[in-house]
Amino acid sequence: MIQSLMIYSLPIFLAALGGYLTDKAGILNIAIEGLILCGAFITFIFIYFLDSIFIAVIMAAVLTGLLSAGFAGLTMRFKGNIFITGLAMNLLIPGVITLISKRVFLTGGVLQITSTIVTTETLVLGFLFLSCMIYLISIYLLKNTQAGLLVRATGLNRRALEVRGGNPSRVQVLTFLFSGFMCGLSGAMLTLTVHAYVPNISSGKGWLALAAIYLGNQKATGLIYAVLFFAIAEVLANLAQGTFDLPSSLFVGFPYLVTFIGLIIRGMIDRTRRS
Amino acid sequence: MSRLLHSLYLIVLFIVIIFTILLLISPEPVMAFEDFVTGPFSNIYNTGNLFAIAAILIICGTGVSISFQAGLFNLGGEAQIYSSALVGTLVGLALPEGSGFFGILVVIIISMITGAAIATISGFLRYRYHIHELISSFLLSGGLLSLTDFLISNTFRDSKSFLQTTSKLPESFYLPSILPPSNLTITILIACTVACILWFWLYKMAGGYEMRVFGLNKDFAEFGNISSRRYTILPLMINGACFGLAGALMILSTQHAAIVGFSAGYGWNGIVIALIAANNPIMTIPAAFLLAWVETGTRTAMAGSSVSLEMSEVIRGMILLMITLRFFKNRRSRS
Repeated sequence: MIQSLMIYSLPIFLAALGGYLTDKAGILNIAIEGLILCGAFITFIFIYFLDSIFIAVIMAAVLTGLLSAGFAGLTMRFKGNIFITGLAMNLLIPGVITLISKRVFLTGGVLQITSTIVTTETLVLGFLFLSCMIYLISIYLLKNTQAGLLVRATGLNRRALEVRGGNPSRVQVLTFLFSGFMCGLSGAMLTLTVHAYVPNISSGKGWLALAAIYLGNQKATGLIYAVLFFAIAEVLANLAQGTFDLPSSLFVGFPYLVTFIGLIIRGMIDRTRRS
Repeated sequence: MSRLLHSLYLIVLFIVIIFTILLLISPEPVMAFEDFVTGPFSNIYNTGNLFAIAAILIICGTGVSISFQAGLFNLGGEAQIYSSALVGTLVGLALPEGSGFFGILVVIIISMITGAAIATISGFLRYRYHIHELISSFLLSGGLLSLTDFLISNTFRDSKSFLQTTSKLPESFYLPSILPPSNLTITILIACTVACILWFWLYKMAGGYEMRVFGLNKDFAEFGNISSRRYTILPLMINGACFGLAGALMILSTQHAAIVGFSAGYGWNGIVIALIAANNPIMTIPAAFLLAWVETGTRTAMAGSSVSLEMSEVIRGMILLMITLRFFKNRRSRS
């Protein structure tokens, strides 16, 4: 039970943490969904060719991070709108993956991992440890160091930073690097727990991660609450599905609806607080 | 002149992208390219289908242009098309069989209202509770998509059909077709009219002007006494209504019944079109033809060689990326 909850919510948490940092730096990384897919696919490729989970996870994180930083850097270099290039990435990545998959593995469908021997338990524990570490370290860095201050300053007032001689664009690209890195980890976890790369394996987790940032009121601790909220919603959905014997197709959209309602409640609370 | 150069540049860029992708994925790129370019115009059937796809894309693109001009992101297009098409179909099925023109009108209006209502929710939440419409529209759409899937494949499913679909609308609901063997109906005329009307509103009327000012600079708009409530909600409402119209027209002209997943991708394509067209409703017409050509071209090239359907997805993403990154200088000065 707890294990399956972890499998469900950790990828969201990892991706949300990355997105949270980009949000702190003033621009939300909208391409999270596509980047998770990218991470998941890279993980599969490296396991297939090198047969090493460790290398696969590292490579997924690093390469996805570079992709994320690359597209953010290009967007800023050419003064594009990061929301729109992010959307373009989301549209582009699944297509490119299928093209590569058809060319290299001769199928656009499920790619089964045949070799791995690590149990799901170790996997979940490993990722749990990893995400806790990254969470604590990154929040510490954000709150207490010069670099963290730079990130927050970029989000609060980039003009002021520019006047002081800082380079807000570079800071933002670096947060995108981190965000891509986290998406890579998130995707790696998905592929490893499913034991395969499945088309659209992220199935909206990236969007939920984005919603989690807002649901948590753009605060670090809020992220944890938001992801817990998703986890509880998932449990309820599974329970409801079991007890009322409803078709599973009805529950595909359940997390979205619950999140949507959660956001509204959040907004209402904020509004009463403000007035 | 600069505008002409800009579109020329765009077309060259576009051809280069397609050819590069074909070079990478196809063993005989030249032949595939030829199929890709000429395929859509090789017979009436293909050409008609190209027009039919373009018509729907024009409407979707125009709608998105409006919300983009107001600085709003509507990512819920998928469900705004799909769910409102289902509602329209159900109403159509409830009407008497020979309703004809009146029935068509009712289906269209109901679908438009449904689409508008769904989109308006996000606008309202943005205005009142400061919930980013980008997130809320996507989440609402995600929920509604699966709900609609469920309703079509369970509650309203036609038990006689092997497909997951509702019952077919009676023939009096079919729109008159233009190029008979193909799917083309008068939708293309409706689409161009909608684009023209919204263009006129946007650039020649006070409301459209106010909305564009609001989209460019919210503080300045407030200073000019422009209602931020109206221009947060209205653009999304228009956008949703356009998506609803697109859904209804797809039902009335080609599908004649709500089939599971029949409109998948059009919501995203609407965004792509709006961006290619630089958010100008009139320019969505050539933009939509471009994208429709990519779609039908990919399909015809697929029949002849090892090109796969994902190619159109990749091309679409590439176009979007190139356009937003503004690899050409002219756009920068205009916006």
